[in-house]
Amino acid sequence: MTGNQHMRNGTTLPDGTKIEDLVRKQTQEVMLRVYDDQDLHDLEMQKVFARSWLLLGHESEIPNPGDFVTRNMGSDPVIVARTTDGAIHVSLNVCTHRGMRVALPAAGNTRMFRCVYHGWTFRLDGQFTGAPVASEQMHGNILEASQLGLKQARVTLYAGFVFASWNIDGPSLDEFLGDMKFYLDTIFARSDRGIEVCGPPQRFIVDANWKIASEQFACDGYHVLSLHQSTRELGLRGRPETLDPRTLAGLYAVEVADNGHSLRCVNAAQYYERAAAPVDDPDPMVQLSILPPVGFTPEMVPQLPKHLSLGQLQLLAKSAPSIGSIFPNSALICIYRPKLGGFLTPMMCIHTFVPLGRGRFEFINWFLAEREAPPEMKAEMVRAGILFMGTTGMVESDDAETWPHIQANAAGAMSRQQTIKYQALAGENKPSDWPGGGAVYAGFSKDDTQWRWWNRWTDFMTDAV
Amino acid sequence: MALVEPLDRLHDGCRVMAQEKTLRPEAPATPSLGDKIRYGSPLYNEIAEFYIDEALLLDDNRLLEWVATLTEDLVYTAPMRVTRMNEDPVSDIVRSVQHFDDNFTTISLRARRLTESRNVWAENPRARTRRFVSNVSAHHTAKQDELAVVSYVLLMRNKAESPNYTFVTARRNDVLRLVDGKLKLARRESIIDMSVLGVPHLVTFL
Repeated sequence: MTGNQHMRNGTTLPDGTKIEDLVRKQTQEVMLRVYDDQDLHDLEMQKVFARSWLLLGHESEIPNPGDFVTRNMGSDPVIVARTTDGAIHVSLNVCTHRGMRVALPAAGNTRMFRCVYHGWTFRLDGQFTGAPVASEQMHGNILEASQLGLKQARVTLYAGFVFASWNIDGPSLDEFLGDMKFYLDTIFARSDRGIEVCGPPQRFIVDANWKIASEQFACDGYHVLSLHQSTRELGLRGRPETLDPRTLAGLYAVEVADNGHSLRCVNAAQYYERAAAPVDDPDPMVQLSILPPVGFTPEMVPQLPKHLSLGQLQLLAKSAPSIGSIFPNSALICIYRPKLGGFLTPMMCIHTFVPLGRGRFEFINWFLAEREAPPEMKAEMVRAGILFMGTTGMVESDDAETWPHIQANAAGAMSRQQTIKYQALAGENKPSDWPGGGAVYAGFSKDDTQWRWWNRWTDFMTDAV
Repeated sequence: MALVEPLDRLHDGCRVMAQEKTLRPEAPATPSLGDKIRYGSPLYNEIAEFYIDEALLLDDNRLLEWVATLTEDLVYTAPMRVTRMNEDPVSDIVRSVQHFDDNFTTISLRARRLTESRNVWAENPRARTRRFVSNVSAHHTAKQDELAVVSYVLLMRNKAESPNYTFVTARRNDVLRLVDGKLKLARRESIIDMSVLGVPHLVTFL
């Protein structure tokens, strides 16, 4: 891989194809080839994954000093570790001596990382502390010890989520999230004690390119009607006999997007009607006290105004952000589902789709809950999440079965030249009383936000950001 | 279910009904083991026959008949594995989040989806499966009608036109209960031997 060469003529693949030929802005099409192209994949690792902020996990996974987990940033292994002063560091998991992995397990607690190969040691923050046989100075005399530490990524915590980037001097995480932070706050930063993971993530392998899953979560609501039809048949998405679009799958909604991130804000009226509650009360706290946000108990609701603005409260009460993506490769789900033999079950998940080469990704699925929620509620949220999402989920198993077929098609000599289409655009149509920023699309879930995802990808691939 | 729910039901939904006792952060109480059931004894053979019949029902996708072999207080789980160093005192078996954490109601629902829906796109066309169950060791328990049984399962799975199999292996910790003269499954914990599942989904029962 000749990185510098690519940086100079940034938009051209070795066969002369330009990124603009792959993502055709005039006709809103993308060549299927984008899912199965080794040169494109290698470029993505540098231009997208080495320059974006990447979600690696949550600080509640490593609560104690010395706790660490190993994760991936694109194709690179990293260690996410908590140091004795409580800070979180993300280090490249590559020994500076001979390239061995210095942390071998998926999780653990340690005072230092000691490479098993020759025994070089590193602090939790990655600093080199020594090489065995100190009398012989086995790290030589060309580089200082201070130059031999594990490569450090830039780290920013948001709502406890660990975001990291190799773009050391690039935009801040706040700038990267842009107008979406207003919306994300209503899910993740709305309570006194915040959210936490319920345990380690589920992990499994899908033989598909990471972009197939990522662009779907950029608010493809449309697929739910066909691909997830079985859950409607079983009465798990409202009554099977009704065709009321509001109860169908929340597809008449408001989608919001900025910087390639997007969220679908689902009309809460369907829940209020079921609860015989006032749909249009001007005070959002009235509705929120009747139907608490996903994962909240009624007792926690009075905390909301301490953390959220009036506009955010209105959003949460009437059109709560529910499902969407964080560019480039993360997704979130924060919804109520009809409860078996009851009313509603809350569930909250975060996914990342970690590329393992061009035709395979690792699906990582964390279950989340409010830290303050009672244990029974957390357990119920996890159980609901397991039933619908992740490895055995009745919803996401259908997705994971579908994506590899698309991947296989992207390899065909004719198929790879075919395009995937994003031609059903609603256009921006922000309702006059909409409290948030970004590009806003009200109505049926169309292709707008996914098309924006591809435009953001193009911006990264062509060095436009 | 009525379309309009009374408010107390709604708040129940949010608070989550404690009586469901869904929290399983730790290993389930191991049934206190009584005498070993000797290999080849009549009771051992009956247990072995239960597993032979069960594998056939599952591989033939006769899932509703399989559900009839479950007790209504079924607990059906599959812990996760997190790779840790040998000297790490924390277990690599994780039950706070699992791959399955189901009861009779949700297992029945999964079975209905797999058998009654034409739109179960994860399994239509369905995978061809073959379950090999072996290494059965069984004990009596403190409860006269319950047996604690450990078995190994090798689940081979071939999908669509793929020339390859995907497979999953697990140790199954079961409790079988004698109900009206027949054995039923009351508890199954399938401890899968993979940390990162090499399959895109695991809707197939173990």
